[in-house]
Formats: sequence, structure tokens, C-alpha cells
Amino acid sequence: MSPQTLSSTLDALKTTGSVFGIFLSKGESLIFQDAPFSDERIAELATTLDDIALYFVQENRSPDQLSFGFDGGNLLVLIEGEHRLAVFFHHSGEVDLLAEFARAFMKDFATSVLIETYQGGGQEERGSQQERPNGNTARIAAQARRPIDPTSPIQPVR
Amino acid sequence: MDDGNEAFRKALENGEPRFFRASRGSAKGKTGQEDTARFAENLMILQECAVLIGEKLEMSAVASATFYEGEDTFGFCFDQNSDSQNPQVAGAIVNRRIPMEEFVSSIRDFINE
Repeated sequence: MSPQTLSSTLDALKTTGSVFGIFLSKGESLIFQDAPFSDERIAELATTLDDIALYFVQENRSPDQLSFGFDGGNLLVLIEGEHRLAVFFHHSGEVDLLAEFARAFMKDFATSVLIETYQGGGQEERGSQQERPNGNTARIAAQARRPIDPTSPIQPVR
Repeated sequence: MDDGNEAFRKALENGEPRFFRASRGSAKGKTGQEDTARFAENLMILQECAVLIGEKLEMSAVASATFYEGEDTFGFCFDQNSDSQNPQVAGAIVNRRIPMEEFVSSIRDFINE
């Protein structure tokens, strides 16, 4: 997928419904971003999403779509291999429509990555992220590995 | 799994959400210990993910969270009617991918029952 196509497709998604921000990343690296947050914050969030995705990989789990409703807005996250697409939006009722658009984009994007790799143009660095020391992944793992039974303590969200 | 639990078996057969409640210290459901433990584990993971993301976005209060994994949908909502000193959470697991908005609405309906 050319940078122009990628940009125009994600720009179109950005103007859908109440979307107010988007970023696409591969591992910790940002590929595209258009969100009302500082570059530093988006970079940190990309790292956090990568940590979360890595945690699930390590646990042999494979969620591919997550949605969070915060006080100040909603976040939809799609995970496709090493790629993550994050969509910020205001109206929670739009989540399924946005997920449909985002999923269609991710499918096209994944196909173009495969083609580029097949044609020798891809610069794949598989395996490198598995070895990265990772505080957030350890934090999620510690949380998940606490003794669990139906009456075990559950941490309230701050 | 809790195959011997009638409510669990029926929910799986009909693709209906299995609902749970959790508050400080305990999770409760009607579909057996194993299913409730699975809910509790997913709840803790998803809450931790929400905290990590919220920290980066400076949005600390998460009202709900949902994910798809395989053919399962999992999620939770905070019960806004609960005591702030003892916040309650309700959540569900269903063995099919249902629209997230519909899923969250079903949890909110369960909260208001």
C-alpha cells in the first residue's frame, strides 16, 4: 500500500462519525498518526499497545479487537500480527461501524504487506520484539497470575 | 469446563451471554466455578490493560471494556449505581461475536435488572 493510499484511507476513517484520532503502528513504531495528543504520548501509547499485544502472544491468546470506554472518549484497537490500529472516538454507539471500516482497512493493509514481503520489498524484523524487556507485559502478567478463583480479589480500576 | 452446570450448558447451546458480578474480593456467576474463574481472570487482565492505556491518555476512569478473541466476546461495565467506596462490576462472556454495542447494552440491562 502506497503512503498516499494509506494516508487517504485513514484520513477517510478519521472523518467517519465522531472519530477524533487515529494511529497505526507496527510493534512500537508508528506508521501513521493523526490524533490530538502529543507525539510523545502517542509513542507511549503505541508502546503500551505493543506490550499488551505481546502479553497475549506470550499467553498463547489472540484477541483481535478491543474497545475501551473512558470518561473522556472511547478507544477501539485492532490487532493484526505486529500491526495495531487505534481509533479514538466520542460516541460509543459507533464502535461496531468503525470496527467494520477499520477491519476492512487492516485486511487490505495486511494483504499489501504480504505482497511487499513476497516481492522482497518488506523489511520484516520478526522476533526482535519477543526479546525486548517489557515492564507493562510483566505488569499484566503479574495481574493475571495472581491466585484466581471465583472469590479472589479483583483490583478496582483507579 | 463446567459442562455439568445446566446454566453453562444452556448458555453455550443458545449462544447467550453468561453474566457475572464482581466487587472487591469476589466474582459471582451462575455458570460454575471454572467459568466464573475465567471471567475473573479476563476481568483482571482487561482492567489492567485499561489502566495502562488510561495512564497514557490521562483518562483514568474506564466505564466499560470489551474484546473479541476467537469466537468469544468478553467484556465488563462498571455499575454506576454502586457505592463509590465499593464499586461493582458486571460483565459477560458469550461464545459468539456479537456487536460490541449490543453486548455492552446487554450487560447494562443485566446491571439494571
